[in-house]
Amino acid sequence: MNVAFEVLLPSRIEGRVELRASSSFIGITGPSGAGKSSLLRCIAGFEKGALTQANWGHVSPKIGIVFQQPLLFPHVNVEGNLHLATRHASEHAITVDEAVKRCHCEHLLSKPIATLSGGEAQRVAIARALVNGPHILLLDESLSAIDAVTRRHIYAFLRQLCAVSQLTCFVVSHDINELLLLSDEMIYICAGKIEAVGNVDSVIPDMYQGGAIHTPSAILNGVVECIAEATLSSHAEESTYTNAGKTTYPEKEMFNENATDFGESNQNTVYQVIVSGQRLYVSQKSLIAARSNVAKLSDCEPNQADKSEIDNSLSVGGQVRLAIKASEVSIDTNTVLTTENSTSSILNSLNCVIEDITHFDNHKSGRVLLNLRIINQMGMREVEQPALYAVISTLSVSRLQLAKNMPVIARFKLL
Amino acid sequence: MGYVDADIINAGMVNAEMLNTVILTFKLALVTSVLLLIIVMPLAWFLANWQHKAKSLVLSVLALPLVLPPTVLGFYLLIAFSPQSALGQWWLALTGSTLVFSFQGLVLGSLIYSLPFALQPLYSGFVQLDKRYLEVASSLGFSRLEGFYRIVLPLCKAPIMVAFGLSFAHTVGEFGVVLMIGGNIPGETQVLSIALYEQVEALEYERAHVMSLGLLVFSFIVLALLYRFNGGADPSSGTRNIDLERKR
Repeated sequence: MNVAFEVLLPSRIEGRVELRASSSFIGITGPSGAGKSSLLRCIAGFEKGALTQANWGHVSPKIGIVFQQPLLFPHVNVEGNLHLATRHASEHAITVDEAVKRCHCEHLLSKPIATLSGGEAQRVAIARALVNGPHILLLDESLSAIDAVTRRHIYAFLRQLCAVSQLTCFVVSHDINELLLLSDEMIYICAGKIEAVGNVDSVIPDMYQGGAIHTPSAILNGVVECIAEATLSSHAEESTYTNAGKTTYPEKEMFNENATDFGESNQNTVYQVIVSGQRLYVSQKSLIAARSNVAKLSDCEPNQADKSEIDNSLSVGGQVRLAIKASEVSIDTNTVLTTENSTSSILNSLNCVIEDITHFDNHKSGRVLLNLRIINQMGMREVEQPALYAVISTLSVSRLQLAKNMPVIARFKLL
Repeated sequence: MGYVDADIINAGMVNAEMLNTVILTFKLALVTSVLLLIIVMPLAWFLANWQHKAKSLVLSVLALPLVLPPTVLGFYLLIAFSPQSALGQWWLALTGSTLVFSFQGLVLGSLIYSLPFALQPLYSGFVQLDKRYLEVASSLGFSRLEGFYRIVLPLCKAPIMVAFGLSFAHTVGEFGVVLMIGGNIPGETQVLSIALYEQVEALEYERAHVMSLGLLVFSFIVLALLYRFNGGADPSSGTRNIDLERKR
């Protein structure tokens, strides 16, 4: 059943949202003062003047909210806060032990609230919301003070929880690239109106045109081939790959294909990912397990799943999403030099065709945005993948004589 | 049977009378403070959340005892409590005794006189309480009542203690209103401040000194405790606990 809601809070926020039934991690973004928090407050029922109609797919959904300011109850310690939240917990709520483990606050249980740092308090606030077992969880910049690594762990856990339970998360964040990578669908709000709702790749152009993002990011889909990190580091020490000035690229089997110890992986771990038949090298921070991949776990272990076993979804053969910022993509017109025979240190390359060239600010900025379509191994335009973007200078456009429908190689780092 | 000095008997009677006065004073203060907390807490909560043009008018009326000369308030209360008034007649019919010059009358007068001293810290505390705590509590499944006693009351512990302490101390030192509506009936309506005045009138400075010093020490201790409890902040604001989250 599709989730849908309509809100009207005069002069603050208005609009209608309809989401796919499979979407359970929804990103909300827009400029400051656009109405993001107002939307969450309307959904939570905190705005008395708001008209809100919603179909959540539950008779009486439990709606949890975590603000940017954690609002932990200061008269009890961390454990006390969690236990207060369990008083009216739903049957499907996760346990306190699991919540504190997943939100990285096991060591904080006995601490008074006043002694917590901003990031610690936010982690506890999220754990408190989770142990209450909401059907809808509203996160209003609730992870803004948490370090990037821990934040990604918590986001990954929330996505997995969404996949295996009845939870739907609405996440407001100003880190748009992270949100684009994580979200099943995006809601873009501007000047009090819900301007765009839908797949990440369909909302990106609206956000770009609305000025919410300086340069768009592409969210591509791929499959993890193996961990590349270990082999890459030893590879650098060897010189046998150089042959008469031409670098030969190691074959796939030379990489650590059997490296499946993902428990030791971290944000710097580099994965080999196959995108439209082409191999990319991507650090973990630019990757997230695809929704479909996580959903498979849900099929195996519905509702009462042992959720402690579901977080290693970046496994060999697993589907992933990766984010590529337009500002990090460069264009090479020499389509013969692929990654395997390139002399560049940039590992990643994708065969593309230029679909559109858009000038920024009426040609005054000196930059253009290229809209690229990936070419697959069959030489066909890859319609299954979203568009890839590149921001380059107008000088490069004229120097390389770039034009629509011209085949090029897009090169980028994802480390 | 031995000879008993009249001065000793006299002194014993005076001490017993003074003890009665002290007990009556603290009984009045305790009853008034407890009743005030019960009455003022919902009133302060309502006022803190009430948005209306008349709000400042209502707050002004409730704060009047702060600035009104006690004798003025006492005079009006004397009129209101007299058997000729509707309230006085109703009380007479209900209890068979008059409201003026009675302990019950004193309690009623003290409630009105000390009301702003209880209301002000509670109102400030409730106004400064981040209402999103209640939104969080509501999102965690708490009813309004449960949210109030599990979250609001513990968070507003300082304002509640301050409200109790200030109204108690203020009632102990009450003079003008008590004199007007209570008279000076030993064991019935004679409180410490009135007894002190009587001792001075009778040129009994030694006893006046004892009473004055006792009241001075008591007032100092109450204020010191309130400041200590409130972490050095102004007790009338009583917002120490509430501001924890904002300091983060």
